[in-house]
Amino acid sequence: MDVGRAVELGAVSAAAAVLGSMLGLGGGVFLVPIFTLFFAVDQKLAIGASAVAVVTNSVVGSTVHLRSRFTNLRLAMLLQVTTAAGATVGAIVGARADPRPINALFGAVLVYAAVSMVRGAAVRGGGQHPAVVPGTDAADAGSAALDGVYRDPASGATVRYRPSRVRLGLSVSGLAGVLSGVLGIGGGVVQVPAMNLLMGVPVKAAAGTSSFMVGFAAVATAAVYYARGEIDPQVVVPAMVGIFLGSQIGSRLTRRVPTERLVVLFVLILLYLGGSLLLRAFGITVPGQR
Amino acid sequence: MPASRPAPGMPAAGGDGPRHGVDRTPEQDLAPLYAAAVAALTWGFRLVAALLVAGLLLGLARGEELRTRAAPLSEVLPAVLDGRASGLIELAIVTIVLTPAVTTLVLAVGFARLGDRRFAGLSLAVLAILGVSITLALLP
Repeated sequence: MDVGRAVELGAVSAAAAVLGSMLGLGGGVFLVPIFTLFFAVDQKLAIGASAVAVVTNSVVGSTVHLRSRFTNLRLAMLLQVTTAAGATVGAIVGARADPRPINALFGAVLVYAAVSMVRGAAVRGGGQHPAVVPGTDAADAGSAALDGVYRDPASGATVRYRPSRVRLGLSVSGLAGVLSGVLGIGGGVVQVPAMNLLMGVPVKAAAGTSSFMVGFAAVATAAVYYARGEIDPQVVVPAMVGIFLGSQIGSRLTRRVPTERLVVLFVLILLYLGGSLLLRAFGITVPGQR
Repeated sequence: MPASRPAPGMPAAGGDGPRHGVDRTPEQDLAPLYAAAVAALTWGFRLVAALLVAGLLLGLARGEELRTRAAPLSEVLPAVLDGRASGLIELAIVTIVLTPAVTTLVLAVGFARLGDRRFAGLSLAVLAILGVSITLALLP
């Protein structure tokens, strides 16, 4: 095993996890682009490694959210049905797909994440909060069984909510699962905004529930890639260790560093990686990449 | 603030409200499930960390190279029994992948014990879906 390369892979995984946890995206969204663009790791091996790293991050990170009761277990298990099914299908399709469309889809997801971040920052800067939309259809207004409650440590208030638009949430979760399966990411980049903006789940509960769910989606991806012999321990182990260490550092930094000030940097990174993948989908390699 | 707005038909939220009001909500009824899920995830991760550390130390001590492709599952346990570092590392990878599946089983049992057959069934459905992908991994 090339120790120097393992250290480099571990370091970039840790950096990805620091960024990811500060942005609430999870580290997986950065791993595949960095591994493929800068380390010339085969795309399928990068996706397999990312999926295992996402599971690791979820297993470690979701215990914190579970203890705080930010995770809504019933909502998670309900949405998980379509997420896991989507991830299994996505992984089976993605593992057989040509790298170019995968690069194009990944690039589009990163650009979407960047745009979402800019819009989110603009909304916060305007002193507004994203609207919570209650269910408009009585049959889809949400079930009392999905009611959630947690104590917000920032305000000390007890927050109660009832997720609405459950059928729409199930559909979007299925889409997040497909993306997770195809790209080896957790899918939180889709799940958190969907739960918050479409289903009216408070951000902390959405993040906690998503953190728990993404690990399950990534299990399906990791298992499919393991079955196909596309798990490389020389890539996976540094990624697992790096993601674990990075998420620990990131969660501590988030409390001390005002994330809003770093949004511009993060958006530039996402746009650079997303643009690079879109160009690569058309056979163009950006100078400095492999 | 949207996060603290009570859902339709629910009492208004407040940090100084009676504690029993919070205790009776569905999420609070699930306290044993939260504890069980945390325990399953925590012990799963501890096992993975122990296997990884043991595998890496053994590999360093013996100068054993990690494989560039994980062995099929049928070969992982024999490799562990042979005392090979690669076997321990691959068992760690398999264990981390199985940890959420085990947690799902724990939740299914927990929901069933609480008499919540609907969510016990949903948990089993999730487990079945994960089982399909894991079965794919088990197939030669």
